[in-house]
Amino acid sequence: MSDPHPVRDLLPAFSLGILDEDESREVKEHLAGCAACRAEAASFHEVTARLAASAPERDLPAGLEARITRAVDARASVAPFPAAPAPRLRRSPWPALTAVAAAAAVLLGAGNLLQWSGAIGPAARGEGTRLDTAVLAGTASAPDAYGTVVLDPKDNKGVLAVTGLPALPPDRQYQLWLVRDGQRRSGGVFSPDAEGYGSLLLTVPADFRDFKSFGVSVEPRGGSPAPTGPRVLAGKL
Amino acid sequence: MSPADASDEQLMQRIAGGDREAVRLLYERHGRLVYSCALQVISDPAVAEEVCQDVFLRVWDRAGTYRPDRGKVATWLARISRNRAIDVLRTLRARGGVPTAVVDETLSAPAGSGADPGEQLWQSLRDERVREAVATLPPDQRRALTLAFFHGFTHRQIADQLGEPLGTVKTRIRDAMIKLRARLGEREEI
Repeated sequence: MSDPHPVRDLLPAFSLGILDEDESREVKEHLAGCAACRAEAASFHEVTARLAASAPERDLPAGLEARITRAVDARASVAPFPAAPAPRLRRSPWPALTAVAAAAAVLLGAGNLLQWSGAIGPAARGEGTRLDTAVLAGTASAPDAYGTVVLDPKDNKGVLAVTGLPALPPDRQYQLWLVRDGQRRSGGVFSPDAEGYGSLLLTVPADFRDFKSFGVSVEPRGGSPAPTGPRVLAGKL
Repeated sequence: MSPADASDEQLMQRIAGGDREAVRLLYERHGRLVYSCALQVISDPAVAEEVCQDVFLRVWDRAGTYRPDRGKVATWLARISRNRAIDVLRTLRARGGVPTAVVDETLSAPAGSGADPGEQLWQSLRDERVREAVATLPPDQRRALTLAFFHGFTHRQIADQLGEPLGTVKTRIRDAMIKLRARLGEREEI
């Protein structure tokens, strides 16, 4: 039987940030699916943090605060996210899953397909599991864009699949937002391929039904804490 | 409650919601820590300033990903700053732009002699419990940890520099971190 925690011995070095790229990728991939190793990594992160936080104190350079304030202002001054508009949504059982979401399953690869076949199994067997589906329509910024969010509340998994998105410069990504009472929670970032297809596997919050709307905006690579760029897709649950 | 009274965790929430004043307050509280962490790795103050600015921009961009259950804001910031400084150090080193005096000094001590010039770096740390925990490590482990923690060298680079087998270096660093975790954890419970 193979070792269920193949990267465990690498976690101390991972927390120190001294692994080479291949090792680091291997660790991150494992951590994504292993709570035990995430907890172990967190305990070493704490050690690294304790060592770092113990650095001898040095006086702050004059002007650094003003520089940081200006940098944050510049980052925040991009056009504000417009209010979410009218949406279209339908609830549907699995067989009604749109072709776009099915395409997402293909894009997500064989490993995730297995995961998804597990998630949709009961529905596929006719047991009536319902998946929540929201259709997202392109805005004036991306009139050809069209997307679907499919949520499986039983498994707390969801997928977003989008077509027709304009290409972005390398320092930008699309970010999905879950909207509740005007507040927006990030659903993750993604980059479309050359054909304008993009997909994103997301974890569905337990209270996802409180999130009535979805939006996708253009953000700096890695995402923003709140929407800052133009909205390209919108839809409602 | 005014923002000035908010806990660090509340400030992070405000930042995630787009509150720029909260970033300023966080800098007021922890800017010195973040800058000091960077300066511990990078001796050039101008570069350390860049790292510090970068850390606060990351906070602005990613405050929503901070998880209070995984540690205090201050230690989270310290680790981000140190790791970011290591990234920059590696880039500079690849371009040949980093003085190696400290490293040379670390290497010049014969293995097993117990005379570890990295000792000075460790003893400069403010937290007495951390200093004590590091002091209890066997010299070979401490030497490998010095090259990893202060200089960000990979296992392979450390093995090359110390002239030790790769597997030995990996074990030393792992064992050192496990011991530190145990000792720092024990002492916190007292």
